[in-house]
Amino acid sequence: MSAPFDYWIPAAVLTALALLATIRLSLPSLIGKPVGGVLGVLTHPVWLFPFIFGIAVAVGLMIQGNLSPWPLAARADFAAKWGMWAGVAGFLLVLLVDIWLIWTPSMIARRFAKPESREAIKVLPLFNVVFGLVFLAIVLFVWR
Amino acid sequence: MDQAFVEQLVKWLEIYGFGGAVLLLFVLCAEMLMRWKEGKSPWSKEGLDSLLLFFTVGPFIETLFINGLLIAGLSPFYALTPLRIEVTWWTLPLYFLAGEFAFYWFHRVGHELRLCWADHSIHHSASTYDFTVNLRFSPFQALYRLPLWAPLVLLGFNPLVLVLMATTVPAFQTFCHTTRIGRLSPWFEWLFVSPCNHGVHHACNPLYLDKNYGGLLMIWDHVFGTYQRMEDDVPPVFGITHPLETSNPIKVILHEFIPLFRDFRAAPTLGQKFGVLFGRPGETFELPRPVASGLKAGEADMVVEPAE
Repeated sequence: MSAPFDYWIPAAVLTALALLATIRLSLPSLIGKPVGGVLGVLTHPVWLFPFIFGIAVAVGLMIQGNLSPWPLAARADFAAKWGMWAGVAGFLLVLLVDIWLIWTPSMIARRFAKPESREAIKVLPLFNVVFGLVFLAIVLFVWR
Repeated sequence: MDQAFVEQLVKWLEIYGFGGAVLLLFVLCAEMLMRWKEGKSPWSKEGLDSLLLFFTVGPFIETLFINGLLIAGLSPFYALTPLRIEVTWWTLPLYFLAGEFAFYWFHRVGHELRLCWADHSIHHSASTYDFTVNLRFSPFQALYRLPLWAPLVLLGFNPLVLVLMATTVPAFQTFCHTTRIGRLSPWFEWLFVSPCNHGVHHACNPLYLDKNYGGLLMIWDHVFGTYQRMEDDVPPVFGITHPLETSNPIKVILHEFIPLFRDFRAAPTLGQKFGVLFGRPGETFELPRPVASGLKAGEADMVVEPAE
């Protein structure tokens, strides 16, 4: 008898693609440079669509103490509950959310800023890092 | 109906709300910081008004009390119908689309019926378009959501899940209330609410009036012909056609109800009285309104004059 299909495998693949898209959006050196071909498909922002909800849900779970902001802890927790592929998906999800909390929004703002707003938006990367780290520190060391 | 699944889904949507609140805090802090960098006061006067409106009608009255009443109001319709659309993982995309559909029509009616516009115009009354506009809640939305969403419930959509989908998913708009971001990728602008196309929605230029009602997706705007892209040669003028000159939250909440009541009383015929309530703003019987002294040159011609 064949083993039942593990739905965590497509979840892990989708999260990996979303992570690639996040990295593409997060690298300042790629601002204004088109990415084509297979790499363009693999890193296309459309992979982030499910994470419009997923990121907010993950942040909510972190606040409730049900998801560790530390990717390795999330991997261990998911793997213990639902198996190896769940661990991979959990690791990638938390890594993705952490990058979004700490860095990506400011890079997206920089990438798409109107010329007249570029000067003001220069303060965002530092703010993004501070806000993200403070949030993660509170979750890790205060609420837990 | 899998009651356990519905309860689980409600829990997840609550968690989404918690996460969304952190992201709202992020954009509000970012707004303050960028204003400071631009040499302005971290909070604009309008931003403070919006904050006041948020704490008076925002998260508790609107999110908990009003939506609770709305779900309670829709439940009898659900009991009436023999139709059922199961709430499972496989039907969630359908619920998502139905939620977007429900949001689209509630939002459209909020703009195109004067009685509902009196409420929804509160959200649009800021002449600035920044992240603080998120805080400008409209307190009476549930009253017109109820009759508009009842047909969907009669079709078998679970009222609890429908209301949660239609009210939480459009929270994505939180990130769209800004003029600092330009046009995003064309496919994104076409499919999703973005700072640019939601900016169109908040503008009072004749070209942009009553456009782009979508919550997260723009698909229902494409279907019903209300999509409008931001044109490079038509810069948006944000706010409403009868600009507010007050920061008093009571006056902000009542600013369209008072002329509505006055016009209803003054309308000479029953048909015109009906039109005042259910006609399109700017096209019903209206007594002349004073043009706000704060209007900039070129904006005065945007004030809609009485049609009758």
